[in-house]
Amino acid sequence: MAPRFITWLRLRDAALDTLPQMGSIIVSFMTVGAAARAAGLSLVEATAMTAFVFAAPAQLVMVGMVHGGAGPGVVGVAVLVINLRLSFMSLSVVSSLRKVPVRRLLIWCAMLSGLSFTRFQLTDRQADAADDIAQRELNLAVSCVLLYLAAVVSTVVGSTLAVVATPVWIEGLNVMVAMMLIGRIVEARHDRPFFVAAALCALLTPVAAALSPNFGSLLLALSLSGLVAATPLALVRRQGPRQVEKAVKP
Amino acid sequence: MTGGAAGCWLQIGTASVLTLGLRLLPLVSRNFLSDAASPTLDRFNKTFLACCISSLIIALLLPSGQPLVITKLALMVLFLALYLVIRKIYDGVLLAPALAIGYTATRFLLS
Repeated sequence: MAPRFITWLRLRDAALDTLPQMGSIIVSFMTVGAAARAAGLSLVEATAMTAFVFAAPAQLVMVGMVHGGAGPGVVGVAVLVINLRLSFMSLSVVSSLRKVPVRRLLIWCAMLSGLSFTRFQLTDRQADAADDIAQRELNLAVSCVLLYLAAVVSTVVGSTLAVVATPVWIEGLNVMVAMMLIGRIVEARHDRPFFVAAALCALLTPVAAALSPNFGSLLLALSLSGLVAATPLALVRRQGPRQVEKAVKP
Repeated sequence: MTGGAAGCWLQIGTASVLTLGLRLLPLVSRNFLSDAASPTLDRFNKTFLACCISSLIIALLLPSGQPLVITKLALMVLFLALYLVIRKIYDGVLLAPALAIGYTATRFLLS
């Protein structure tokens, strides 16, 4: 990302593109802040957790485990399993931005979240012009920084407000987060694997959670995702080389 | 919190180091990566995100350990359906907060 490439107009456009995702991150991390406070964590602890972990699903599980008296080992395993997806996302970013210096990638990957990743377009480095890559890096950088800052501030607000929160208030907040998340799934309804996996996971989550309260839904998510990701490869092997292109291309 | 403040910092520290490690691990293997992004990996990422989102929705709406109250559940489903219907006409950032306030007000009135 050459300095001449960065202009106020480009920064403003990248920031405006990130704004719709802000609502989602604000609500998610306000929920994290409120849940952390309800579980007995102080404002400083809740804020530090977001500043250093910055992964809402893992933090929500972590808060429950800390509240239940789980040790660092158990919490570590749970966080490792839940956040494994961050490694895959980071891998995709690194492989798509190989021309970008490591020092800059280090910062973007450290602040990477699922929302920033969904906006990031995977590229083949041989095929793209330098300006395209710079534009993608700029979009990713702005999205990562803004969402990170919003998450930290929202945790502080959520944690502070939790002092006056009632169970019904928390319930209202949960319904609002659920609405936004359902909206995201509905938006992606044309992407069949995404939609099918989401629907299957929603149906099977109560069963998985009943079988194993801490890891059930995580194992379900991992196995379903692996299954969906590997299905085209299995079809290719079964159909033989003739249908290879047909099966791989969408 | 039953673990105490010191225990909590230990857990936050462990989670932080592991998460940062997961985020930065691919940078170590940067030189060994192929040029093109893997479609299988991309598919896995997208699907895993979908699964996480839907699991989180269920966890938010049906918290484990709490009794299943049919009227509460019906009200939630009603407001979620309202959201999906209204967003076809108006899909602004205020829609979800406004409906959530409506939901909370209805719950207060009913309780």
